[in-house]
Amino acid sequence: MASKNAWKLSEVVTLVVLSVALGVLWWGWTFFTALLTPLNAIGLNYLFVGVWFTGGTLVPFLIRKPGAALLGEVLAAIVEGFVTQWGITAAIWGLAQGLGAELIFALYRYRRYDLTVLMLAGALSGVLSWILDFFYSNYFGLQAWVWIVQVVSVIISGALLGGLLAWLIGRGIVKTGVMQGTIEQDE
Amino acid sequence: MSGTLAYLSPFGHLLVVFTYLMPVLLSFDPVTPVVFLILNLLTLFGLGHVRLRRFLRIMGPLLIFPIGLFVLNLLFTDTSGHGDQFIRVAWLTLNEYALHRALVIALRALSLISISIGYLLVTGPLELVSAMMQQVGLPPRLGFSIFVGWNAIPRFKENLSRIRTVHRIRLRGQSRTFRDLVPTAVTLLADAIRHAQRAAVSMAVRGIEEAEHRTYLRALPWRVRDWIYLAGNLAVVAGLFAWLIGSGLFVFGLG
Amino acid sequence: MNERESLVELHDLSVIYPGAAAPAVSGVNLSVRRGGRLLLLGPSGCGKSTLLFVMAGIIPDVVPATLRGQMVTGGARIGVVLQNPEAQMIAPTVEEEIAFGLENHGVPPVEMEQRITGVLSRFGLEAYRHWSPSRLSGGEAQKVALAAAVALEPELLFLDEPTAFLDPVATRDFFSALSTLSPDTSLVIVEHKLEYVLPVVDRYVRLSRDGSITAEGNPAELSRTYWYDAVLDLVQFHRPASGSPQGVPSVEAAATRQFEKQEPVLRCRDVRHVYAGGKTALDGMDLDVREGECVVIMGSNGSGKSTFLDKISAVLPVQSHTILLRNADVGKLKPAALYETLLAVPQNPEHMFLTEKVEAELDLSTPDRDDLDRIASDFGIAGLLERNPYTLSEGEKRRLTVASAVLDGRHLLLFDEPTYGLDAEAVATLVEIVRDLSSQGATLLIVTHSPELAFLVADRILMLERGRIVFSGTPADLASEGEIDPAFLPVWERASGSTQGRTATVPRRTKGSK
Repeated sequence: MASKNAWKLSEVVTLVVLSVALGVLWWGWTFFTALLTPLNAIGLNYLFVGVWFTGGTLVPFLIRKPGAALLGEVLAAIVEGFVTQWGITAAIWGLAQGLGAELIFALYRYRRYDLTVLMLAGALSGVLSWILDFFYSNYFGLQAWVWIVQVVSVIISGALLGGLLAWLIGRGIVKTGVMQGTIEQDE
Repeated sequence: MSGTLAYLSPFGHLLVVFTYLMPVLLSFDPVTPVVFLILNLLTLFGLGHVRLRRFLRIMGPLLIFPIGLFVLNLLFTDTSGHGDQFIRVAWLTLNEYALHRALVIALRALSLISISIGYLLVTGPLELVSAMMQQVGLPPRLGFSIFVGWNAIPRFKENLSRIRTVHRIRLRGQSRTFRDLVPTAVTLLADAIRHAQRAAVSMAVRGIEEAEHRTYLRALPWRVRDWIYLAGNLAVVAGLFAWLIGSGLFVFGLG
Repeated sequence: MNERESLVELHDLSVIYPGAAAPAVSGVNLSVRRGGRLLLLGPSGCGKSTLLFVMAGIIPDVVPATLRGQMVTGGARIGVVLQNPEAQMIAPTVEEEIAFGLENHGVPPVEMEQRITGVLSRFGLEAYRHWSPSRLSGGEAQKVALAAAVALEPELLFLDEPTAFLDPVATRDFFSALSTLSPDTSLVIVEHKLEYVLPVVDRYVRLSRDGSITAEGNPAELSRTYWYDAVLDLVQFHRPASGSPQGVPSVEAAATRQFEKQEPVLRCRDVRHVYAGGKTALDGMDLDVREGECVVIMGSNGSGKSTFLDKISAVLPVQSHTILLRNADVGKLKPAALYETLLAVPQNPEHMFLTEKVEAELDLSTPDRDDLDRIASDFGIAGLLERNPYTLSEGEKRRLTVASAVLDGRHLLLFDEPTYGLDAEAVATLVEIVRDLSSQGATLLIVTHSPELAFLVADRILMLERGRIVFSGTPADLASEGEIDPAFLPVWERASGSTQGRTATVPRRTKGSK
């Protein structure tokens, strides 16, 4: 592998610790969404899940290496899983979500990390996550209109809360200068 | 790990738990999830010596998920083509097909959740990571980074709570949950990144990069007994699975 | 390498960080000989940590930077202790923490066990062997970090301001542990608390702000009160003699401050706090604070200082006591009312930041542009308006947070350890800011470990012990109580003497008024 792609020690540590911190941050969001569980019934709960895809969008935005999306999302999901006691299932969902994001970044050859790419990554994370839910919670038997509401919601949420939000936070972090020496600041 | 499992590798146990999960994930009947749920509980209480009360205390709040799924599927299942049989339960008239589906789905969820919780009750991530470094070749950089992250969780939690307090005081109690989201995240994560960079220096100066052949203070080798545990479990799971299929109780279904 | 054996040599070394305009270190010639104990001194930003990092091999391998000149090293075994305790705790338990470096170097387990037991008992850490490092206090963690470095049996030990975030007790403890070092371990240490470090070193080098060496020699030439003298000199130097800009008091003014006749703005009665685990943090404290008073609260870790502040700012709930803020019960006030004039300045200034530009931070506090410019200039941050708040120095960040508070009309300010991690210049500036606030009628409660801050700004000092007030008096009272090291008495007298010139309370500056 070209040395450009080799992971430096500081990048590995930063990726892991950043993902853990993100997992802790998600924990706060969990309380908020818990209040909205009634919306589960009509599929609108999916409007708020995008925040949980940010491991696959924010982390690679800051650490632009192949695998960052997958690892970031899985690690953050595991932390979230431990803190909220969902356990291993959280890791499996994280894997699906991370894979979705990773695919998008791979599609752009790990060269583009702008808003559009992040939103696409968030959206695909959402779709894959929904597919997993489809089997795990057996949506097959549900009425078709519920599926449509769910998929549209998860795509919107993934793009906005998973992509746009990650982009805003990521740029905020870059402007603080903590990433100096690791990525270029645009404009 | 706790109980008798203390003599075994946490990684081996992880593999075992995965073998309990697989049949349940592939099933769509009310029996399979329950069978493996019981098997898991036997391991948990029998070998892991986990106390029932503790298990219930943690499972309690999570029951909302299978219950939610039960209701969702009971009410919104597409019953066209199956709409003729009904069952009377108390004062309710329920479509039998929908009821069956809802039950199966709820049991599946219950089983999956409790199996994965079971793992957490028996061991922790630190032991698992240590085992993986020594048994499966997890790179020490990654393993120790995970330790750093884990140790930092209390710090991040406390930071988050302090940041929120400071914002509340600064804004005189005005709630700005959504507008605050980005600044809060930036503050917390920028601190996390700096923490990581310092930790990387600390790890580097103690030679983590030169570690060609690393020794371990607490050796955790994969032992014969781990193979036995794994093989034994595989046999039990395979046997149960075969019986379930053979007796027609197992129904394949992904969705 | 000559026969007197240098462990590390720097020849005309310069270091430039990526994106920096000027070198952090310029043209430095330095060598560390075997058995030598070198002290690096200088103001913040002078490059002393950079030098240490280069010698320890951290730059450029882990921290990227461009080097010019030469560094020659004989490949000696090194150990490093950094400033931040938590960032050095990377293992699940204390014993594994100490084992970490040994494991990386392939030391056999039996020998590891011996070395670990050895350093644990040497530094009095046996009880912590199986603890998770996240449970350790800052002082304990730094000792573990030292133990971990020493267990490697280094020939050369590097310490980068190891006590920067430790209180005086933990600092003393750390240095007494350091003094057990064997004489053939060489040392390079960056530190400014000379009263502790002088016995440990045999040579010093001082750097100036542009990163070059301005002095070197025998540390015996330096005074134990080095740090305090530095702060005092800077405070005196910055204070204008007369004709000062609005609001800044003249030191020469005659009247001393009178508080007895005024109505207390803060009344605390029998303040208690018991934590969920049963531990008592506050055991019945009574306090009256008058408008415009500056009260400094001191005491060892765990004495309840920060808890007390949290009670006043209603961060911690009421537990059978009363705190009255202008005769309104703090426990019953709504946030908008309670925080009308009260602000708890956080220990980490970054927690206050809500925007991406200094100017925007200030703008959040007031829409009045004139006020903003005036306060920015008073606090010396006018030149920083376009910068991102996170890119400021520690001292500048703190000034920004206080400036936003002042602009917002807050004049009851609580400070929790405002001097941690600050250099002498930043502490001096903080002192001046506090004095200015005080003379403008702000009421201040400051929790600190820093005696220099206390002596320079306090109208009253409270000493806490186990949740109770054990001393309450003026700085002069404290100096004469006799509990202070006689070598430092002249410093305290100089410091507390200089507080006597402050003017009486001037009308409080309210939002929108002049």
